[in-house]
Amino acid sequence: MKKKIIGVVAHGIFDSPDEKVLDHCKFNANYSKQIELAGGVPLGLLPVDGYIPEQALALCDGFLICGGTASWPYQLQTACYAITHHKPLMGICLGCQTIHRAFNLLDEMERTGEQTDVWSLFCRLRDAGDPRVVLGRVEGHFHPFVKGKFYEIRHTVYLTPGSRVAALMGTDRLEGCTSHNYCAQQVSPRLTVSGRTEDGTVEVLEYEDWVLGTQFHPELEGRLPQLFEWLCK
Amino acid sequence: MGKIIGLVSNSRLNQDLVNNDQYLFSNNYIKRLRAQGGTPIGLLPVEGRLEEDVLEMCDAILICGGTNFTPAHLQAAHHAVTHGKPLMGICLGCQTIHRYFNIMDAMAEEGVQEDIWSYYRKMKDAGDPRVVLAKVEGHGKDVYRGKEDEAKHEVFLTPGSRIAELNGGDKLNACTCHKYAAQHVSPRLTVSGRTEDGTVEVLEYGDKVLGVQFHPEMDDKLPQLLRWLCE
Repeated sequence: MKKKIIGVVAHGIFDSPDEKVLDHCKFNANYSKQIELAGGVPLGLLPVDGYIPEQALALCDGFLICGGTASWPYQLQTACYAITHHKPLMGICLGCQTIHRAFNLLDEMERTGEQTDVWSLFCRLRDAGDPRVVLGRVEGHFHPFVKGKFYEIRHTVYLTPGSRVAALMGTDRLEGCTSHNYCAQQVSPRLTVSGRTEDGTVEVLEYEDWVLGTQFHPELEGRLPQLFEWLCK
Repeated sequence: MGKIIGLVSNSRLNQDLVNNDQYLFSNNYIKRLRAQGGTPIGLLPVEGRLEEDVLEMCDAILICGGTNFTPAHLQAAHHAVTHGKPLMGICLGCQTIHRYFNIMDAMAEEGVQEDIWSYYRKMKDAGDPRVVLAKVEGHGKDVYRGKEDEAKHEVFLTPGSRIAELNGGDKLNACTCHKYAAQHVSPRLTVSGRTEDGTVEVLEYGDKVLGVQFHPEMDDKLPQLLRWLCE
């Protein structure tokens, strides 16, 4: 069977003040490694002026939106592309938050019937402080990723029995590495929150059987291969 | 539809923080290719190697500059050359083309068929000048936004060469940002551009392979070179 091509959306710096060569897209090696271990083929999606060429998105069978610190139009663009084209979509950390925002934004566009660019709508709601796109602040979830010390930064995520993620993992709880300061607040009614930490933080989002967001980092250790196998199957 | 251009990027690996193990795609390359109608995609190696499935999707290959030379560099060059796809190498990418031809020549001379990277390692460990680069002085400039011209030098092109034809003249001015250069170039490659100090600046093979030691992607003054790859 032909291997699935997974479009990887990375974080990037596009506004460095001085040296031109410092503007770049950064693909962390561990995401592509997990895709390959799961039988998929990673393909790096490269934005130009904030957007990924549609022709590049069309090459992919599924998408992985990686973690990062800054939001750019291309992350939302890819999430919305996957959702509207019904292609498997996984988001990790900022990628999970991107899925959360994309559903809320698509909901809002459907509600108002407004035909607009998703990024402009996002900026408008963000500037208005709308909790559907403004993230909540969380404490105690941020840790640096030091090699060989991942066990120190795992926390327990409680999964909803019968949810997709619980079925994939074959259990109602997992230990995931955590490294974030923000999380989803007002989640779209179309999404299911199927995992939380003890403090109530949204850790897993799912939509039917083809969209999955995790606030934790399954790519770090290779201890949660089921999630990547789901994306690449 | 634009041509799909597969990019081999710089990387930094084996850092203390796992998130710092990264493949870094400089925005300049992406932007210039797109401006010429190409659709750039990022080639992401795993343990140094690329999946052939994703190379197959590419109409052409661009090997970018950088400091980290990996098996994926030679693999991408090999894919392009053996499939007759346009191949462009910039800076380290130019040196990749140089090394690739020499490695293949050496294997043919010895009558061996081996993994290209393993053979490269052997040649390098033996200090073979066909893969060990020459140190150059005065070519390693920092390129700052809006001050690209300050990091440029003149490159003299061989009249009648492919690059002279693309450039529409026997001389060009381009950003330079390297400490090493090709020496002992394969007899199959043509050196069609040099700086005044004799440094190898342009390598060509037929009409499908072009390596430039300078950086045409830093600004929009040499669009014809990147256009060649996207056509």
